Amino acid sequence: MQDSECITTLKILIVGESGVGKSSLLLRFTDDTFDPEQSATIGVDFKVKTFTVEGNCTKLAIWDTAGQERFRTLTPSYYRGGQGVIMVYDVTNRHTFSKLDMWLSEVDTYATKPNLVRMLVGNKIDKPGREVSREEGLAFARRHAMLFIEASAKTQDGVQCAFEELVQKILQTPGLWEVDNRSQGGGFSVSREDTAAQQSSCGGYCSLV
Amino acid sequence: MDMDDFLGWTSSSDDIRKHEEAYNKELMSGPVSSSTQFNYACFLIQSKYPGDVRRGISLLEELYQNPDESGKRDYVYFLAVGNARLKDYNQALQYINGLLAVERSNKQVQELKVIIEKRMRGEAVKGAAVAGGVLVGLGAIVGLGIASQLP
Ligand SMILES: Nc1nc2c(ncn2[C@@H]2O[C@H](COP(=O)(O)OP(=O)(O)O)[C@@H](O)[C@H]2O)c(=O)[nH]1
Ligand SMILES: [Mg+2]
Repeated sequence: MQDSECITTLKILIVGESGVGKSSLLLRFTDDTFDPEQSATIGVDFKVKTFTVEGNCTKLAIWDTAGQERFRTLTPSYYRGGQGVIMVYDVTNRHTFSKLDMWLSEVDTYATKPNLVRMLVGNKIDKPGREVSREEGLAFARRHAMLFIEASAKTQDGVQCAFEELVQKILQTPGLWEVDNRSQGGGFSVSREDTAAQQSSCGGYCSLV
Repeated sequence: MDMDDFLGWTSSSDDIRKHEEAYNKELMSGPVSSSTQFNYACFLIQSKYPGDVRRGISLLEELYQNPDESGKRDYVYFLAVGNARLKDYNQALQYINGLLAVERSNKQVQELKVIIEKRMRGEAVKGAAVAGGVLVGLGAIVGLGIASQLP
């Protein structure tokens, strides 16, 4: 897909504790691969992918943060202009779930777009030894008006859906994104089918809260 | 702005200023913590001004000299980014290859290597185009000379 056919460029951030699978989710989404020995991210990583949702081509600039303490002062600057944030925890590690409040307040503090779309992802559902139930994740998401999905970067369950729902929601939020001036022709219109979650291929997976 | 890869992304002068202030504040009251220096250096090497990038590189080199540092891989990675942004691709690749010697399967590093090699080829092509242009120019002059000698 040519960039020039894309209607907009969206900035998306992935945050959460180290080791929850942020880079793995991103790699599954961009390259459709999984590395059981995924190396810890250095500082911050950045990937671009064109992605079409309901006929609307978007260019996603996705920032993957390291999540370690030593980079904590580095990350705030990366939030600037972010239109979507994917907050990840590991369903087999309760500690990563209890840290969500901290991540949420960081997003609220540093995000420059007040109506940015937030999505909660409970990763590693393929792994035995679950410590956080789906209901708990859902309840947290609901309490904080976030989208929610459980996923596995390893088996690819829910990964495509997570990005699809997030991008769809961003496109449906007025004032959150701008038409790329590089894209030609102003005649397009964004599909705005109501209750996207029920109609998209992801129905049943994602919960719009 | 070329935002297609990490090398094309630039930091804002606001970011740089903010981290510069933190750095200077610590500098005045004793030794600067490595995380403050690292953060400042990261934003400097993403600056659009080569002078900033060079300063960022020297701050990272300083951190790297520190023997009891756990963050060496971070410093080396950003040293590669900084040198690549200054178009010193050979130096950048040296850092990258150093990292890959330790973490062979690190995709983030492999990807940066591909980007650097792509830029390197891009520069080579540009260079060839310039050289080609000169040749065409010479040819035109020679051609003119020949033409003017024709009866
Ligand atoms: N079983 C399983 N392991 C995963 C999954 N996602 C990531 N991992 C593993 O968890 C570890 C940390 O992943 P990584 O992507 O580096 O986490 P990050 O620090 O949040 O970026 C790596 O060993 C991954 O292979 C998953 O969905 N299932
Ligand atoms: Mg990572």
